[in-house]
Amino acid sequence: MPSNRSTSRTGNNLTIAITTFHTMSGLHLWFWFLSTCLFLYVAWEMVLDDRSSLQKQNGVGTSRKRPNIVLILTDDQDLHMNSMDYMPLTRELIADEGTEFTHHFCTNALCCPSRVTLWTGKSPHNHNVTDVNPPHGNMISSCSLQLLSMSNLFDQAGIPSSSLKASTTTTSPSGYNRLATTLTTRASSSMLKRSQTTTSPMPPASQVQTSSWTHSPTSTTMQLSNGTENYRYPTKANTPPTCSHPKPTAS
Amino acid sequence: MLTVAPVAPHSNVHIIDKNIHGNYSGASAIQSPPVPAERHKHLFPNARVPRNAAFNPAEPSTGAAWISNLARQNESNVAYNDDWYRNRLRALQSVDEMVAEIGARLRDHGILDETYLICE
Repeated sequence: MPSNRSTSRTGNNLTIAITTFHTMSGLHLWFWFLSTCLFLYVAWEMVLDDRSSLQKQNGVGTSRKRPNIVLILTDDQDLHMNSMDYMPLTRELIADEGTEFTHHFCTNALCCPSRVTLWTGKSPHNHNVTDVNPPHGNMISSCSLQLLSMSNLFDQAGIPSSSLKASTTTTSPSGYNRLATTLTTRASSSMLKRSQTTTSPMPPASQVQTSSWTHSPTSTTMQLSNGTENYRYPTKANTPPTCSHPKPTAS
Repeated sequence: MLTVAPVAPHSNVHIIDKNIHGNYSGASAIQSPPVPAERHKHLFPNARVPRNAAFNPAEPSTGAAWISNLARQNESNVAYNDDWYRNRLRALQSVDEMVAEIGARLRDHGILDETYLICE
């Protein structure tokens, strides 16, 4: 029902969680984190709340716009190592003016499982994305499930959704984009098929068709570095850490 | 609804074609520190991983096995991680600017007060 759409939602506009995403790149165990279904839940509650309010207000002849939702997702960021101290603009806009969920936590310290939990609201042992490499994870699962799950929920609520994968750094400028595009395209079709035949977005390992996870290399290390400086380890790359810990003994 | 998923501050991923063999695995790529934008490369020269009580303890943690079984890191490892940490903070600066710009654009369009902005 068309009606007064100018009702403001002042003071209710910002919601945030200063938590972060993370991929535990095997060699670098000092990362952690992350995220999950809490946000999906919170966002969904917001939608329901808004719909409910809309219906109520329609009853008395008034209405208001459904809210827009912008979800910003970082990868490999930390909370406990104080990264938010280095993001004053974000803190000013979102934490200071909105809400900071200081008890938010992630269900898994790996990027892909944690992302898929966010998109689906399921724990990793239920959605079965348990790795960052195939067959049980990688960009395939993250990207395609993002498209299939969370966005679909909002579509059902009548909120147009779109997905944007933005690159804000010079990290692997061309290769990264092409790789992501390739994987996402392939994943979308395969994941769509699965979504029609199973309640779990990822099939058991025994049912994984290897071909589904094959990707054609679109870049090489040489292309990625593009003649610019290649990172060099400060010391020998293969220097093993000094182990001073005793072997744990059975108690 | 709009989802914005910047690559930063993820590590720099180098795909190794010869290690793919039809399937992508953990051996198909190597990681190097995040690459900050040119304008941020000079920032935080003294930043390092916080040396709190849990940092590289002399005695093993009593936590989960995958933590308590970790070897103590030597100086090279610590320096390497500090370098990584710095570059991650530098790469984050682009994200910080992006968030601010998104907020500014929403405000310019007069829709900030009807938008849920979720930073995960």
